[in-house]
Amino acid sequence: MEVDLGMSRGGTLATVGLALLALVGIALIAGAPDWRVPADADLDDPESRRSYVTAIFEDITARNPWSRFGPDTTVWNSYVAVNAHQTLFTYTTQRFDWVPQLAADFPDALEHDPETGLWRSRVRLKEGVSWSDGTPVTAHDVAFTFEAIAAFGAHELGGNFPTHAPPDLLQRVVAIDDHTVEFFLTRRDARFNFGILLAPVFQRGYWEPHVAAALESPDPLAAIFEVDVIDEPISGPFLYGTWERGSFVNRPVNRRFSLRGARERLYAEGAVRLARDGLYDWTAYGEPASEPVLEVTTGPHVESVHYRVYGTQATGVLALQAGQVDYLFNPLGLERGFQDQLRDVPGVTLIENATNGIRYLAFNLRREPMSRLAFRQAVATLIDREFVTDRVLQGVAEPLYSVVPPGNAAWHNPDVPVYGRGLSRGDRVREAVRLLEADGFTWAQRPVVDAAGTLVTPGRGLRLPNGQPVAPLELLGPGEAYDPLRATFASWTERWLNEAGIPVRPVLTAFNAVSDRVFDRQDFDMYILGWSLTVYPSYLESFFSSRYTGLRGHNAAGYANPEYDRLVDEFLSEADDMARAREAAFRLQEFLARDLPYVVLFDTPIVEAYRSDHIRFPTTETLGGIQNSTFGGPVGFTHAVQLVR
Amino acid sequence: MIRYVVNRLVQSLVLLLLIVTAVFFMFQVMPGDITAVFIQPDVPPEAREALAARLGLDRPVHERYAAYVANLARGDLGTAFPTPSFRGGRPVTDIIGERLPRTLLLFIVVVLANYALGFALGKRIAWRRGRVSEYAATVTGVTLLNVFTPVAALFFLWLFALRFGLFPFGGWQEYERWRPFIERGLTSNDVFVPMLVTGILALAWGLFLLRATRDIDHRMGRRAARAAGVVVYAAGAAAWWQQSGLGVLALDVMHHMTLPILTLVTIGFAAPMLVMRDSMLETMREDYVLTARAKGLTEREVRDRHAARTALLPIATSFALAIALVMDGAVITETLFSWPGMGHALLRSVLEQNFPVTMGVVLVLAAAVLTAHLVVDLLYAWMDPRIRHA
Repeated sequence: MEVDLGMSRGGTLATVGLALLALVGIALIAGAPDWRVPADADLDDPESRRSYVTAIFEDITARNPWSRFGPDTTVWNSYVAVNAHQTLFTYTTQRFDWVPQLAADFPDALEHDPETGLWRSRVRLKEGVSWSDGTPVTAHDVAFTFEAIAAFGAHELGGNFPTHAPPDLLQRVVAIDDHTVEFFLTRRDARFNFGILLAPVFQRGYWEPHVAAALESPDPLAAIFEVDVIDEPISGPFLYGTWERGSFVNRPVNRRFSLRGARERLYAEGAVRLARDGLYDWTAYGEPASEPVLEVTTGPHVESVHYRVYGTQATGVLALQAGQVDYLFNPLGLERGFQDQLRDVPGVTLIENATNGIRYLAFNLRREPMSRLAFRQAVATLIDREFVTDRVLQGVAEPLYSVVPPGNAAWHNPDVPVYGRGLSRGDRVREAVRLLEADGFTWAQRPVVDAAGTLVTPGRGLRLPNGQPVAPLELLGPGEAYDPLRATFASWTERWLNEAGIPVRPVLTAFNAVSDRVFDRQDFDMYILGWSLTVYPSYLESFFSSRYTGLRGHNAAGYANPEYDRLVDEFLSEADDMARAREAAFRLQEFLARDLPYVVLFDTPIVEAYRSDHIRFPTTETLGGIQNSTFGGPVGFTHAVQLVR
Repeated sequence: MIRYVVNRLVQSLVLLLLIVTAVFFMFQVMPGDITAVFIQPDVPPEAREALAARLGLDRPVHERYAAYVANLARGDLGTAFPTPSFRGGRPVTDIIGERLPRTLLLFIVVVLANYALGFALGKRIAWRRGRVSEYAATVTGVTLLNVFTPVAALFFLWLFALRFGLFPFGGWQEYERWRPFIERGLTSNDVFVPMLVTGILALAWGLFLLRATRDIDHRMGRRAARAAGVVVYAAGAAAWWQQSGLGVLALDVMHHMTLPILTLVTIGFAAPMLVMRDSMLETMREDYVLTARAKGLTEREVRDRHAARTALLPIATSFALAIALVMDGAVITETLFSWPGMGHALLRSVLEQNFPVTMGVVLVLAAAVLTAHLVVDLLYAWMDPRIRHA
């Protein structure tokens, strides 16, 4: 008997398909990977309850220190892997005094060795400091680190390595015994203190075989950058931990961190005392004569630091508002809108700090009329920084006058000459005209300012002292989208210069287009750009020494002053006497303020936000903010942040 | 037909080469290069020159182009330059392999949801032409379609994540949930890839099931067979996820996906809805629809079985292209919901002048779009013989 189930060809097909799927399904299930968490696994992670959570807005790209300190030295890599490798010296919190970290004391004074013609200095290391695998940090690790850098080539490694091991300065590093290391230099140079001695120290035991293998490979750099460092012993407060690309980095505490519990005390009269029970007690920069003005106890005081990647600041701000993150790590700081959004949120605190940077207008001193001091002085006189920062930008930016900004108090000269400061608009024009006329400039139509200080007739047809007309000049700068503040300054500069008869046209374009014309081709008249600076102002040499006026050199302005060159060399060679170095730095700033290769314009303070109901920083008043990016400095305070929730 | 296919394949390959060439030379005319990141106070010019030499940027353009095309022919997309978003020396295929599953999973679901909703609403509002419901749906759809994506995304984040606390602020994983797995070496793609496979198999099985049960005469029998198919598939998939131990992570990913999907569907469903509506309005005027009505079929049967099927053709074309463009991700969505995929890679690599990454992403995108075009053309050629003879 035939039973009609209403099943046709399709129904049969479905039956066969189902059977097939069942078979395939059984096979797939049987072959499924087993990621099941064992039943007895401890899912209650104590780290999560004592974790300091930070929002970052770009993922890290590397943890390997050769890559991270080398070509991949991005701001995010630096933030997240901060202090994984301790350095011989470091900076104190807030004041940035140069103090020992792995070193036991200041280096010996540089001595000249007549036989080799080299200068040498010994550094003694603290005893009792260990790597995360429990082995001691020794002088052999230090010597190995520099040998390895030299083997790969500091310039070839790129990034921070040329600063930490400048081939023109550092000849060799030798371990005298387990805790003494000797440096041999070609000359006295403060880059020894503020570059070489701030270099990260890598563990010889871990890296020696990797370096040897890399050096034997066809592409040594690629080979060393590729090493997966998950098991690398480190000397800092947090281990590498886990990294999920594009999502988070979690760094658990290094339970063998030797400096845990160390106290840093800063005193009003300048003294610094660093102490760790049973390990060291060190005082410098005078004797403490009162209670410390700041005391920081090194932690970690948390079980882990958790960096969560957010695609935009807007999302990160919402997460901070909801209490899901404790701090927003953003090199640009909080924009005005976000500040307003967070200002009244309970438990959120906003802080504002000066930054260690400048935005400036530079001249091409190779071209007329920029090569004439009177012209540069006239331009500097016409630019009213305070008007733009206070009236136009409503206090978003702060006017600056020296290439070393005031936030870097130890090196900033507050008394440099400033052209036009305090003058009214009319007086600025009169003074600019006076300066230009004194140098022989003439106009087809001389600018006229009436008795009330109003410009009644703008200048036109400026001529050089030789009678040639001044060709229209270009003022290069980044566009509105990249930096509206610099674009604003460019617009006002154009207006003021044209009023005085100086023909200027702003060309606001992409940053790379500006840098290409300025540094790679030196094809420009004037430009507006900015620099993020280092605490020790070695840039007084790299930006303004005549050594760097070539293509791609940092002295794109072409400033060449033999007197300045001599003084800057003296400054750099003051490796032992910081008071004399400071005096030289002050004189160098006076040179620059007078000769004006740059007209320093302004910089912006950095505004940051954090959950003050969750965490407490040792201080919130610090140059560059909580996230100050000074290498070797207390970046982000991860080593000292405390939970209050 | 074979000749037609071969011709189209050759055309696609030539087009691909043209796209690669155009993008390559567009990069060359851009001012500066990535070594500009080394313009820093303490980095000497020699280090910048060493980097340029290492990356081959000191070689003539024609040499670089020849090398790039030769490597491409071998399937080598090169390695990334060292820029803030990419580690120098990382293979581009590795970067794409890491990001593509994330992008595919999120945006395929979005496209499917958009088209499913758009199709269902479009046919209904066309059928109710002139009524309040049509005007309401059309005006709402057009309004939502014109909402700026970041505004919608931030509003949804504010409402559902901050105010109601229903969803996370972005990303795809809750650290605590994933920690035990990640500590044992699991990566996100160990979850994303099976999720994609599960979804694709489900789709294929669903289509197969529809086709296979279509001829079952008994309505109840047909429904029972389909339900059985769904149950069996669901049980199998659940068993796999249970067996692997990854089910909890897949659920976590789905939880994180909900808000971006909700946002994108809210502002995106109107596009296919309006296409479907227009197509339906044209189809409804056809004689065969009148005939179907004259035969006494119910309104629903006329709409779904006669009008909507024909009206589906233009929407099928746009669906195929939308699926291809999924590879591109969506820069704004990926950024706002912290879901770094292909769109994010494309944006960052262009901004950072990371030429090898841009080329790699563009190549994948171009290949996907050209393949989709080819598939659509072949589909039309198969459906309409006049096309291949033309």
